[in-house]
Amino acid sequence: MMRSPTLFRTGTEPRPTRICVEASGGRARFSVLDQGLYLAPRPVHGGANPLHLRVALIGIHMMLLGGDDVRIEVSVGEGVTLEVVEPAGLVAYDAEGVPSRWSLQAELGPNAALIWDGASFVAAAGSNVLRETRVHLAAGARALVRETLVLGRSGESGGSLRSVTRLTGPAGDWLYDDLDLTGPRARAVGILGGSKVLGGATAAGWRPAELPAADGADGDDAASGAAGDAAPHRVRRFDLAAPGAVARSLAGDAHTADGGTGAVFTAWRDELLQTAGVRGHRGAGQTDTPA
Amino acid sequence: MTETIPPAAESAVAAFLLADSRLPSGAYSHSAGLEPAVMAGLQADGVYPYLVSRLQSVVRMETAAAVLAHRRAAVLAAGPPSGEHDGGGDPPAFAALEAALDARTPSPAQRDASRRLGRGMLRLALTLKAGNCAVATLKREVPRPTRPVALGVAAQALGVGELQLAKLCCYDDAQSVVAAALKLLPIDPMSATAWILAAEPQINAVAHHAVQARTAEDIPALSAPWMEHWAEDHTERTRRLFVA
Repeated sequence: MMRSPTLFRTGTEPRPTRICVEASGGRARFSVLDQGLYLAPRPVHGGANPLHLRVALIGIHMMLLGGDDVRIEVSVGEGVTLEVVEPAGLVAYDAEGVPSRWSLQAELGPNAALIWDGASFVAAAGSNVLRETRVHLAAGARALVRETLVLGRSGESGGSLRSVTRLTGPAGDWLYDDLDLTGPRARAVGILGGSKVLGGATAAGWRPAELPAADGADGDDAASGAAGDAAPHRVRRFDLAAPGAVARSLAGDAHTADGGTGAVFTAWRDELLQTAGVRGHRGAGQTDTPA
Repeated sequence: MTETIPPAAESAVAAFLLADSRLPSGAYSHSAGLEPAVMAGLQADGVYPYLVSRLQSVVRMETAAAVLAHRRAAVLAAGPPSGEHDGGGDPPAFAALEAALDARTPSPAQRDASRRLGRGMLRLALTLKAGNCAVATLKREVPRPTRPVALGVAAQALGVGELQLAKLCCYDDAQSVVAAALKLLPIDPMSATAWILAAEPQINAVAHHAVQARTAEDIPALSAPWMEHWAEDHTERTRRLFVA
């Protein structure tokens, strides 16, 4: 299980999965829904709001193997909320160090919103993955991204993983985070140390309300990993300098990390959906408090 | 690419001064994140790896930003350009550097710590080089600069060269870790001092990489999630030796 047969068969640039949504006559619709080489977008029920669409990404090829290049391109038109769900986790298998790549590129129009409900991404031993999430937000747009990065399956150490998250507002970067766990930064103290799992929810374009204090375990200092243990840590909230926040947890196994940030993601998603579309075309300078 | 500004004679004494923990800029109250790490369980044998981890992550970002601030200061100090110069190749403005650092620093505790250090450095620069155009510009455009931006401007004003500044930026971080370690952990001061020298190859590598930066885009965004968590944890403590 090393090199990708999928990519070798094509011999060209891998076909991206493309999802474009736009508003038309007060309703959102899919204007582009292209099956990519690896992933097929399948619309699913989006709820009562006519400007809210949901789509699931279904794997149609074995991935990620060495040489695989998974590309997802998303465009969300003005005032529309698109929710993308990954129903199944993704494993980057042992590729004996042959590089593979997964990238999401999203463009959000004015007052648009993207909810990216990502599943676990597992970098197995021997994998070598570059993961990129890039979102451009126009005025009034909002993004909510959930991701869970797992270094290694049960009982193995992780592969080589670099995960870049870059969320850019109308006037420049809001969050630029290059989690490079390759080379000297692999298992480095203060970076990921002995933790295997990083769970995260990232909100950009609005600052979510503070959640009740009960999310996650207590803040006991002993449970925070500097001694190399992989004990779960409570969810930490980081308010960005820009409008936005990151909730993150570090843990020894996917279940604990995802459990904490999953609850935050759900709360932030509800908050975003409460105001999505219902306020029409908000001005760029307006704040985004829940109605 | 920016034209090289002919450097004034570099001041070795100024470089020593900026690297000295006795400098009245407030750096003594900062542990470069070591105290929060120790409170999370880091022990004596983890201090050197921690110091190196910083050089592989946050210090790369800070050093590149300091170099660009230094270069911006040099352009300002050289005065307005003559002729039809459009400024297109100029190093980024101080506010753009600050915005780039903010985007790369999700932790508010780390942003605050950096600005506390930057404020002390700016105050010192305003006192030592009151008439310096770049120092005045920084004060006007970014009243609360981050540590690397203030350090870059102060270094330029005092005649410290760009590469020297880059090494200084790394050295200062490493020395903050070591000095704090001596107060927090049972470590032999001689051994701890040797760690700084042991890290010299990494310090040189970071510095040489940093001086290649041309735009804010070139500032590394390497994250260190545990350091960020620990920094936030520290803000909730009352019993601590260091602010950050």
